[in-house]
Amino acid sequence: MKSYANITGYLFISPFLFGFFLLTLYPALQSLYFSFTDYSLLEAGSWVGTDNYTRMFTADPNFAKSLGITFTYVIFAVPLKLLFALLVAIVLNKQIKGMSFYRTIMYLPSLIGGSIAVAVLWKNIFGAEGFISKLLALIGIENMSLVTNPDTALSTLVLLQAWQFGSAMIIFLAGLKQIPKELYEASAVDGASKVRQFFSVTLTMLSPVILFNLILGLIGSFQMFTQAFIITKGGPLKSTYMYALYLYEKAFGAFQMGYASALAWVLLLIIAAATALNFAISKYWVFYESEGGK
Amino acid sequence: MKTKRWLTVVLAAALAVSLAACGGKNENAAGEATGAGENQDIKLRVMWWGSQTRHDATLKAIKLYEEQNPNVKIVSEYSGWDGYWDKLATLSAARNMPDIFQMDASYLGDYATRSQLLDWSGADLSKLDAKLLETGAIEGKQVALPAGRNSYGLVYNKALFAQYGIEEPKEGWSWDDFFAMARDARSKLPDGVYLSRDFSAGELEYRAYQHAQGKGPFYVDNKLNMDKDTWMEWSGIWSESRKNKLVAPAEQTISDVELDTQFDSLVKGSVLMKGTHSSQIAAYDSLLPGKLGVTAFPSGKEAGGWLKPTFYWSISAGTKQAEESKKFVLWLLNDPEAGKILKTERGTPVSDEVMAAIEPDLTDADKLGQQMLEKIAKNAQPFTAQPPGYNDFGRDMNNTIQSVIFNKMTPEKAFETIQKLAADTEASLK
Repeated sequence: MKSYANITGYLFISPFLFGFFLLTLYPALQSLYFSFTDYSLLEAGSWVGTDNYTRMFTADPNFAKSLGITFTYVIFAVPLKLLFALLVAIVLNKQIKGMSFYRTIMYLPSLIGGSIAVAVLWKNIFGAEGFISKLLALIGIENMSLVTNPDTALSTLVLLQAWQFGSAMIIFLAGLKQIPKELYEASAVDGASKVRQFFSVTLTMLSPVILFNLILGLIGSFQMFTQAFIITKGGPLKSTYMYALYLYEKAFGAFQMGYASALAWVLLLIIAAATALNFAISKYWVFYESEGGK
Repeated sequence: MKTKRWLTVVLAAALAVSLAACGGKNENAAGEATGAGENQDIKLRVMWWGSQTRHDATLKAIKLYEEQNPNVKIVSEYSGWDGYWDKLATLSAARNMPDIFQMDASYLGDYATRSQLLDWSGADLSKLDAKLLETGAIEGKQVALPAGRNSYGLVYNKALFAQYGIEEPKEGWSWDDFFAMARDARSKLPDGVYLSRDFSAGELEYRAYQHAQGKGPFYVDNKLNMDKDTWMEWSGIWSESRKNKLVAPAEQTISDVELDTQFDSLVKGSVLMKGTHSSQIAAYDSLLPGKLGVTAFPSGKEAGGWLKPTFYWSISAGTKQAEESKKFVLWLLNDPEAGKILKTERGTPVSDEVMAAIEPDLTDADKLGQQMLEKIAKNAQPFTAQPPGYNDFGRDMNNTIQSVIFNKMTPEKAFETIQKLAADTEASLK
């Protein structure tokens, strides 16, 4: 009877299992194998051992460069997005009429934000003849095209990422609703100011949600591709040459699928390390109510 | 209970859909069309990139071919340039390449040296332009046939030249004439409008300059051939021009997107002149109808412009229909009827017979492109394609060149960087 129940269970998750094994696990293992070959996509590769990995760390300036840019991007984009998301969530947590309408409006950019269309839109807004450029011209800064200037292009992409705060905001909002009112009432009785309440009650109670959003944000940002591909093509002067973009160009532009696979695995390890690091640090700042604040 | 049954149905449906998605070939995907043909003995897959007008013309030609050859059925797969190469590379990896496909000079070496392309030896190619045909031979094998004639020259806005009282370029003008014109134009043009695009932003204009100075092509024997003095001189002149506001600042130059109604500086009217391929002239004419003039690059000791194929037709080495594929491509290139449908959609026809047949039907815009081609052909330099394995090099080099116009790098340092990039590329190919 028990084994029968198990089979039913597996049958129910079979669409997922099927997809997972065929479309995720199998290609992943295959790419691991390719990373030790010089597979070119056009013809079969031969085993080269750890050559690809050695080359990456010793003889490829673009590896270090794109990794550096990606780290810069992650370091600025992730906290900025979290901050935006949190502030908006706090504002939207107020009890006023028509709140669900405002929430929908604020969430809208995130529904469309990751898409090609928005990337194209962004390119137009920040481009040479774009809205921002015209606006800057009004206050006397002429000829300022933010996406085609190597000093400002990356910041523009960071801004685009921060603007897509919606899903993080929704999660924050849910977190805020979970915080018991009594904590605010009790702390108010004890004489805590609004600012004090924010830091001691809101942030503390919300810290597990912050960790969750932080890690999701990290993973997403390390793999940033669409915007760099559409808006800047990695330029100008490689100022937005993201790691994922470099990987793509190696695979499909230079026909070095083996090397690109190795790049992908290194990125996986980097993301895993960043995630593990954050979990390790989290015990110093994340407060779990269920553990009684231990 | 009710919920459970409902869930089962949903899950079963989901399973069926996911299985179907794996097994189905999705015959009706966008960008695929099949022609009609009753007697389907031979099936050929043809793939190309291009604009809607190219798709329409090509599909029409294919239909004609199927009418003339009822035993052949042609499956067309077409898209824009973006994504085409990802798709072709993936199809190649899956050993599922189309029989016939468009090929570009920048990828030809990569595909040819990996034995992906069929050798045309034995086919009758006598009617095709021999010089262009040469560019489709890699390591002694004819692996690609030129799809059309093309050239790189200058297009300018005649109407604006007249409006601001600037004399149009004369036949056989020199680089000195060009720079004199730029200085003269500065005093006549309003702020924010320049005679030309900053030619030092890309590699092709430099190539034209090096040719003109008699220092030969940019690549010789599949290796970089960049003359240091010529490069230093070139960079110096343009750096001076940026300082004196003869050309736009770097940010503006970089934001130029060819043939984009919003981002193309010639279309916007912020420059009067820019370099382009003759195959693009008709498209420019549609954006600036009746306003354009064309000319060859200025010359120095020698001429600066060159003729090249627009791109190529290649056949997959793994095709099961080699003879039929060859027959179809040769029909596209040699048949006057096909030529009348395709006109100059893939550049000027490579067969003189076809050219003669379509001449009466050409529009003014087509003729303008033809005019540019002829001006350059009078004194053309040989075309040298980017060597195989140099795709990365090309990208990094253009980045380096752009560092100079952003003042992030001295011309001297850029020259050294480019030499080093070339040496590294050479080393990686061994």
